[in-house]
Amino acid sequence: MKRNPSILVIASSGGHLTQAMCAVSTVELELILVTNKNMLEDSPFARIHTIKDTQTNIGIHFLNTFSAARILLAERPRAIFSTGGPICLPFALLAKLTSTRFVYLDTMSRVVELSNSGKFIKRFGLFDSFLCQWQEIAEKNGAEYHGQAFDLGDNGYK
Amino acid sequence: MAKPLILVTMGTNDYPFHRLYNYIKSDLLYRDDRCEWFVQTGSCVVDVAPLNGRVEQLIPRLEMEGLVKRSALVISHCGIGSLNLMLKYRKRVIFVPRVEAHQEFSDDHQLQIAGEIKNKKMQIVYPHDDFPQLDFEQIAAEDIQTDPVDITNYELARIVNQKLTG
Repeated sequence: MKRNPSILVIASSGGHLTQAMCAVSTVELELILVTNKNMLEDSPFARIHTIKDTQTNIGIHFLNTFSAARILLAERPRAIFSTGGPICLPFALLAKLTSTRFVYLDTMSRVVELSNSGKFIKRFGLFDSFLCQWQEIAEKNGAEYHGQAFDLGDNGYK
Repeated sequence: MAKPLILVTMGTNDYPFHRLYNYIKSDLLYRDDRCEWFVQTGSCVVDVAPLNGRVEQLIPRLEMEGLVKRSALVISHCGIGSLNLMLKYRKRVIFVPRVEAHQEFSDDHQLQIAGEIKNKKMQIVYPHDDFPQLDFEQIAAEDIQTDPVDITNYELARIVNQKLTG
């Protein structure tokens, strides 16, 4: 079966997903989401997969690796994009093993240092592009900085 | 005339946020019929409902957006998703950052992002602060904004697009 070229977006629900949706807002390929809780009714995603969330539970990360492999085999994305959290780690690992392009944007909510997922991905080189949303963190970690996913300014407040 | 809506959102993560719940429960307006409340609790167990309003654990994103749109005041954890929505609808907000010391999150990143908020309609309640007493007259007089502002950074989106598809 011929698939549409697609981008796999990995983002935990809440802020990670909000940032991811801003960051992929100009992508015209089919978007497929992997998240931990699906609270979306109307979204730009053609399909949504859910996997278990964890910060440090190795067992869940191990099981998620199999889920990630299944999703990647089913979707065969052209590239993967993630804003974290830790649910992205098995995908980053498998992207490296399968030479799938992996673009990572560290979350805006970490203002003084990389997130734990960002540190892991950076340390083991599990990325093709690594972007930060705070200039100082980007400079300290040799990452790219192109601003934040959305504007924190006044935006016409009265 | 519709009663002004006070929306409380604690986010979607698995950590409870009893401190925020205790703040709102202690406020006189929680038991005042002149206000309507909606409390999204996440993992927090709420034993006392507001006099006039609803309590839900989690609601779909679109429903939350509809509530934000018509709210006169939002009381929120300091998550990025929530901050995005409040900026988009130019809301008056009291942010209460979750902190690790109270087992409200695994780290203090909400304090970090709180430090970056420089908006005159957004107040931050830090762990050592008292929660402000809510003022009905001020809430009722709020000029409610319902039209969203597009706050997406399209320059970053263009670069991400190039990296993914170029």
